[in-house]
Amino acid sequence: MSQEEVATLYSEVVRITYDYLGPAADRFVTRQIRSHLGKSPDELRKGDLKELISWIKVAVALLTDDEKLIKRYISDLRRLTT
Amino acid sequence: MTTKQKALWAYLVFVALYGCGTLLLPPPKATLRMYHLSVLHLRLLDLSVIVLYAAIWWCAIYGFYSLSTYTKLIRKSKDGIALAKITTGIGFIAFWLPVSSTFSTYTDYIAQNHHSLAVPMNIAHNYLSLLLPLIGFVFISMGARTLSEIMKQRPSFKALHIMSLAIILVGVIYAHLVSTTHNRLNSVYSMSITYILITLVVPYIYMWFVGMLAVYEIYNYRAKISGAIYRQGWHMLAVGLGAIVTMSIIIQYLTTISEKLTRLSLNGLLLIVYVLLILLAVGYVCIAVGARNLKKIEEV
Repeated sequence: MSQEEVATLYSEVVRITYDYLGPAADRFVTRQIRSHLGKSPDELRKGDLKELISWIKVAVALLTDDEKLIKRYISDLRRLTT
Repeated sequence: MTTKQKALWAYLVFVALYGCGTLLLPPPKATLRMYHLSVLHLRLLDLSVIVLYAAIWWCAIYGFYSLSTYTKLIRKSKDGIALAKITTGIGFIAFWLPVSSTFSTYTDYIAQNHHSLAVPMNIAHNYLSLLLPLIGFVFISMGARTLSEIMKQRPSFKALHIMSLAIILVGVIYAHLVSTTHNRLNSVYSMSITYILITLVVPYIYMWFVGMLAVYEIYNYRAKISGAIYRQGWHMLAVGLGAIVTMSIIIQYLTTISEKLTRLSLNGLLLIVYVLLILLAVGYVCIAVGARNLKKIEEV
């Protein structure tokens, strides 16, 4: 995978997250990647997405009780895995 | 010393200074005569005000502390830079009440016992009461403008016109109230009318306009920024900031017409003071809750 594709994958996750966490999106995604995958954002690979999405689901459930919103967010993220 | 410890110490120092000043200094005879109170009755009322003030100041300092903690987490980001300015402003407004109340407790006593110092003490209190919230409102407006710039959105034409009209109305009534009662000029301001209009009325009207504009920009940011969950977090913060700015304006407005308020019964006067201060405290609690919600986003 090229550097450009890696950067695109990370920025795609941030772009989707922006619709839910606004200006906090970048910080949130970076933190999830660093603390749960033990990687830096530029090391994110497509194979990491499944695990990342699981952690994001757990984290977002702590922030809101809106089940529909969580489902939509996770489903938006899952589109990146296909 | 951590920020939490500094905030706690500042709070304890102000409560101790205000409590000692209110309860240990001799009671003002004019107040006893005006409301037909015994010394014991006045002390009980003082005690209730001290407890209420202590609770309100705690809410204010806790709200400021919560917001500072959140701001520190995001200080390098665009919204963090905006929020840092707003937090500084909220800090000035949070300390405005304890500083102003404690200052007036001691200066009133000095003025009662040294009549030659009554005027300078009164003037010093007037400018102190103006300066702290003025600096606070300017910082809040700078932060609110940065939030608007993040969204690349300026206040709408309609909103600007409504606010201009509102501030002209409020300002003209205020200038009229300040300049028409001779007694108030003596007892509240102790200065010539021209000097009062230029150095007190104009800054107050400017501060209220800046405050109104900031509240509008903060609400606009909350309503239009992307991020459904982030917006939910901002809801309480925006409500709290709006309440604090609005209540500060109302309190300042009423303070300047205090001469008219002294004509009310003691119960009526206490009711107005308690309701306003409780609403102000609710604003700070909303800020604390909003900051806690937003902080969660940065911690999970």
